Amino acid sequence: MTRILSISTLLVFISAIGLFGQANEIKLEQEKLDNGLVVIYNIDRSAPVVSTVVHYKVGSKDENPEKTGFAHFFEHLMFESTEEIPRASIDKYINQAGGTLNAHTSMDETVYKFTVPANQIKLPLWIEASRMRKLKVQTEGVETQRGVVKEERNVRVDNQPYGDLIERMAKKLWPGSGYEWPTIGYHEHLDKATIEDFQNFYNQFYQPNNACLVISGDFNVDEAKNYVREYFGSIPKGKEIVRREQKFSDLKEKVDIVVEDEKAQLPGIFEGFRGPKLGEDDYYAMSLLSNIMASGESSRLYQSLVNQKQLAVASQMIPFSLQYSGAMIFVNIPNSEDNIEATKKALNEELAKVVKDGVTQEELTKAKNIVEAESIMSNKNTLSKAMSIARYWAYYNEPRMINTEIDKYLDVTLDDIKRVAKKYLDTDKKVILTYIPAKAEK
Amino acid sequence: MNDLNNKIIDWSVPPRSTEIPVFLAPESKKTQLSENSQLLHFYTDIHPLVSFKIVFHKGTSEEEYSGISKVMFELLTAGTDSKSALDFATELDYLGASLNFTESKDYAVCKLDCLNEVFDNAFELMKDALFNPKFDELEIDKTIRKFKSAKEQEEADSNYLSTTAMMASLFREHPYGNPEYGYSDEIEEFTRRNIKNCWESYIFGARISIIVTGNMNKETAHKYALELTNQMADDVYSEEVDNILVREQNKLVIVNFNSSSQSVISVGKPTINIKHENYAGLSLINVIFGGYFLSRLNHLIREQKGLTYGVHSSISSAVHTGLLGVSTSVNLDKTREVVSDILEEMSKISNEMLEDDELQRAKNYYLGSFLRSAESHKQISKMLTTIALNDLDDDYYNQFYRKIKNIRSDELFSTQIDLFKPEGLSIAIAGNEKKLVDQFDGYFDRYDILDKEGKILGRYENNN
Repeated sequence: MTRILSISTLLVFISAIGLFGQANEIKLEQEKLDNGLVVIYNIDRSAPVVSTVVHYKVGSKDENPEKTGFAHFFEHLMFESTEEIPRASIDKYINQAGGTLNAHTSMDETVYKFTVPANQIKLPLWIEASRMRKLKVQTEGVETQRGVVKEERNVRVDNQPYGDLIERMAKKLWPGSGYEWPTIGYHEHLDKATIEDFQNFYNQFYQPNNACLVISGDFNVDEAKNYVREYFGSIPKGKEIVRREQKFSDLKEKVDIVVEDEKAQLPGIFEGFRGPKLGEDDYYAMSLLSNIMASGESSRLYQSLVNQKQLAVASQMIPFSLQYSGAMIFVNIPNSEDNIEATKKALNEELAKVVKDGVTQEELTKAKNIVEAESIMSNKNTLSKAMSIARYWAYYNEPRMINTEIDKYLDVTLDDIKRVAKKYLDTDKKVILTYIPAKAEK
Repeated sequence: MNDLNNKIIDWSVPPRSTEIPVFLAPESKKTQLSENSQLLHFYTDIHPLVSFKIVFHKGTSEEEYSGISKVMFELLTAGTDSKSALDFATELDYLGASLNFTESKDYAVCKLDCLNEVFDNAFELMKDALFNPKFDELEIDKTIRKFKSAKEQEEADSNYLSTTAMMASLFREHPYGNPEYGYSDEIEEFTRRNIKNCWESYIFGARISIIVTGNMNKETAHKYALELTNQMADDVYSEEVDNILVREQNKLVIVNFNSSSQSVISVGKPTINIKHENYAGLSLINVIFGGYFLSRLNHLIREQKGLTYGVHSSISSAVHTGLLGVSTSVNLDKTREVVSDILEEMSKISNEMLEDDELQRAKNYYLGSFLRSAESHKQISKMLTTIALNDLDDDYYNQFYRKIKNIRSDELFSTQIDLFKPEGLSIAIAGNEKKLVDQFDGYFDRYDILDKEGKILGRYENNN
């Protein structure tokens, strides 16, 4: 009886939130300079600040497999010095202007971010243009940043429980491709990186025709266009970029590896499946399916493994949405080593169930509602908006998808979900990593 | 000099800027709802979003058994009189809403974030969780098991261990020194009766501030707030908690974490809290010390020596004290060098008046951070929470901004001397015990080895 009442309550909710989609449209103006640099302007007067994002289409996948970690190491060097800006000055200029700065590197992209008070709009543009014109790579900067990057690897990978999970998973999921190695690189490659290597990397990828500049915030568009022309207009167009070809051979068999981990207190089971790449039709159905399976306390895996069977303390999924491929990594943390096999069995039963029967209309509607609410919540400040706009340019060549991509999620049907479940999850060709806590020497 | 598009640009100097925009704190309204409850409201229609926060003026430092509040709050969404845990989670997810409970030493927060058009349904769910929790025995068992696993996982994190050791060593005998996940031997006291008592102490026994920001007008916010406070905060009491005792002598504590090639250093020093007139000055000095990328600590330890990915200092304010903290992860072999650097930088900043350039740079950064801190309704909610928790003036942020803008280096100097001397510190390090003991041989007269909960396991005394 309780269940029937609950379902009817849910149906009220379904109609109630059919009215979503009242978020204000994000307005954009776009231009392309003669040197190929794409510039996108977005006015947002919520606060007297301006954010700039420069998105370069270069990530760790573009590196030489013998020289991993370059894209990320290079991101650090971009804060060192340029022909005009002395060492250790970029942070100083931005911070003393009341701004903040940051950057990130992934397998596909390297992105530089500034947020400054609105009166300082010219400053980040001047810095970005200066380092796009002529970065200065010097021994002192390289050696300091080598130490910093190695400590970053220690913090993020070597000293975390399950810290090398992504490294191990990527190697097995995408062998032979640029996604095979970790973005942060291997210690031995970081040790060997030379100034000449960095100079070549810069000349190849840090060109205006491989980048997009987004300006979002409280500014005057005509003035901003003048600044952009002043600073970026004379930077010559770079050569056509030759990238290594990305080859993806099918996974040939199931990979099943046990890892002893001194940092882990509880075991961890990580099952990775190859998935659709960013933007292809299957991507939207797969994202919703992932949501239904493993997002939040009402998800299938949480309910089954954590709540009902009480085998695990966490059951989630890490989605990998990449330019040329994708993956779903199911993350399960059993509550004891005794429950490892039972957890694996329960996970596979749930996966088999969704492959066979698909999902219900209620589950699909719920997943769409979550995505719709998140899409509104995620674009509420200038920096997050600028980053999203740049990503839509980089991966879809259509920044205005920031307003319309949600429609692709809303168009997904029950049949789509069932189809992608079968296509990507009904297979033995997957990667299973089982981490077992290893007791450290006392 | 280059000729670009017929314009001469001097690339050697940064572009000039116009006047920095003036910061004006978001205009909020405060309304007293009852003797023990108030509403703070800020309206914006930029996004169709609402943040609705209930702040309980009571935290884990008043709980009877350490860790029980965490379990109790977790149980509020694990089934009510009319809904199972699954029904509750499903209905909330349907709305695309999030409902979170968090607790800290002095306060706890129930936070609902959602689109304005589903707020009414989401509010009903929140009310159900707050007022009709079932505290089902089976769910209690499950939640305690999850709590134990989470505790175990946290205790595998060297950052958690280092912070726990620092707090325990600094505030021993005071509830601020309790570990976030409590003491193992108190878990058996997490009975249904004790959990229910804990729930009652928050719902009926604590002062309440309700913070509503976003796309909801004042009248509507007032209506919803009254619906809650009519049932809450009717038996308010507050336990007397002793003030913090400050030691003069520095203390080193080590917690063993064998499997790491790094060590995590946490340094803590009790200081003034937000109500003190010198708090703005303290915050500004902290920016220079370790509060931003250009800080002295980051410049020396990361940018000059490359010994860490990051080193930060921070100021946190509690009801009974404030805390100046420094934290960083470093290569194990360099631990002593970095600890020495931190103490040396503290000593320097407490001895020398700040140069105008350095001060102005930090001021500019700080003033800019005010502009960035009011971009979204969630950020504004945080500002209002600070005002509510500390009973600050409505105009607090404008006053604070003016203080930072106008303060001079000679006015700051006494605060530097009083609050940055490297005395009364707790230096906690999580890392390989044997290697650390070897490294720190002779550095302090003695040091303690702590367990994962901050209890003393043993003591080393230097023979020299």
